[in-house]
Amino acid sequence: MNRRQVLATMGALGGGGAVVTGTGAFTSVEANRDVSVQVADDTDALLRMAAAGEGNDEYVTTNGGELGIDLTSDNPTAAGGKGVNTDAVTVIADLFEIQNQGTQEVEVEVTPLSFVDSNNSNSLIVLVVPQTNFPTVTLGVGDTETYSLVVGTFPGGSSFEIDDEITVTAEAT
Amino acid sequence: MSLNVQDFVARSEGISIEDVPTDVRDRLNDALGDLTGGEGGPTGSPAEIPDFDLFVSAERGSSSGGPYQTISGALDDAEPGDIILVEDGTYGADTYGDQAGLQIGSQDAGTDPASAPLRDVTVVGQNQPTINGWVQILDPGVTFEGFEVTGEIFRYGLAAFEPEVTIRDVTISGVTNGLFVPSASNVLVKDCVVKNYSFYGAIVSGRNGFGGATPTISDTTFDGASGGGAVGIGVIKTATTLTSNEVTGNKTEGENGAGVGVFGGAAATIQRNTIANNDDGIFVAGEASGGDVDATSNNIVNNRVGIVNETGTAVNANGNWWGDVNGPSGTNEKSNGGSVTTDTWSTQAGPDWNESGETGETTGLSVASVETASTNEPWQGPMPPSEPNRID
Repeated sequence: MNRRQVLATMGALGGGGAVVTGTGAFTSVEANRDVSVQVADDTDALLRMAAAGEGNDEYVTTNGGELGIDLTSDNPTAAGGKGVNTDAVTVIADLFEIQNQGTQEVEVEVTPLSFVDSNNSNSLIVLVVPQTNFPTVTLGVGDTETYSLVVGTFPGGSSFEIDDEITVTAEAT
Repeated sequence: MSLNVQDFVARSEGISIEDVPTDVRDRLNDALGDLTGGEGGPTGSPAEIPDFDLFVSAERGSSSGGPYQTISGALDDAEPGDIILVEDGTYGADTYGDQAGLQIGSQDAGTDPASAPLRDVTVVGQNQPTINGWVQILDPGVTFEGFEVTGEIFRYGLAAFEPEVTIRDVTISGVTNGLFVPSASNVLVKDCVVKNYSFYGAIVSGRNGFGGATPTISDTTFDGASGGGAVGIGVIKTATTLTSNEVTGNKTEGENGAGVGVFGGAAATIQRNTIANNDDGIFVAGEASGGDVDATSNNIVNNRVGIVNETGTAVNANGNWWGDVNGPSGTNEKSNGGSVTTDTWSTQAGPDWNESGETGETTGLSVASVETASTNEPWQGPMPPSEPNRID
């Protein structure tokens, strides 16, 4: 099987609570309040990751709610395509996007931005290319960054595969 | 902003640009140019890694293909104008005589420039690889950038003999004398550090009739205190520009050290430097003419004497910060020296120098004598060292 897959994962985001003190004369108060946390798919989460909807969505997969990029025979296109060409540079523009659906401006970083598999004469290189800023991007609430993929194979690269992960981090600015 | 493949590789651990073959690199760069080069392309900070023609890796190089293992191996195959990229590591295998070092260029270039096989070659290090020995640059137009030099030959760490040479982002340490720069035209030393030297940090010289040039040293640190250095920069029989350097801690047991020493008919423009904690901040003597020394807009502080002038003409020292809003103070210990003009001075430290302080306010013209008679007394301090020879 000729498998070249890039999976996207997201680390857990944590938050802290505030402490408020008062001067009331109560000896004690005990009250119950609701805490509800729901885990959402990448497409609906606070940091939304989804296909960009620009005609290349077939290369984006969802497995257990997690975004993935799959240009292999495991994810053939409707027309039967099962991978990138040999001895070629393939550009997949506007492949996936990341949107800040939280409540604060965040700086988003995708790492690594390049993958290389090579031996003495053959190479397979994958580059993840952000659209508006390099290498990181600051997203205000509701803002979206779109990423493209550039894949180079030389001269054949048919025996190569890249099956790795990218990490998406978002930190409040 | 048009991105290229080096921008991506530089930010990925475990991947070197050498992992991407040249042909693939070119094709990917074309694709990236189309994708990111137009209006609306990404902004940001691309990696500052130059394109290159030859690659050297101490760890992964070999003599049977792939990256070069030694810098001299790459130099043997380089053409004029080539760029040699050197991976992080230690390079000490290039030896000449019995001392390890690196020779860039031809011994004959000085007398026959057409014979210079490495004219305009750039040797650039990634993450400042170490040259475990000396370096001599013998061809014109060479750029030597991004290295640490830790050895010496003829008591010098790095010597650049030819015109149009650029030395940038180089640290020289553990030497008797750091840099030797003869007065070949347009030699530039910039963003370097010279430390742990025991005598001179640099000699800028007009040796052997190569005069008429203006070598420049800028944005470079000379840390005399780190190695017992006597003089930070010595300027001899040439014209030079020293700008935005930090020259500190150059002292001798007899208090005859100096931050900058100007000797033997030299002319010097000394501006925007910090010259501090030396015996003498700037010392002008010998056949030099003080009138050819323009030392303005510097921080000259905490030296035993700020400027000492032993020539018959005045040194222009206006607009300097002397560590006091009231200007220079103290007493010149050399009663038969020439004058130092301090009609104005800065009332604040650089880099925001001004000329707000003026004679007539609270002042003492003190770092200089008012005498203008020339003295023939030799300097009691350390004389400039013998100049190094080219490696055969």
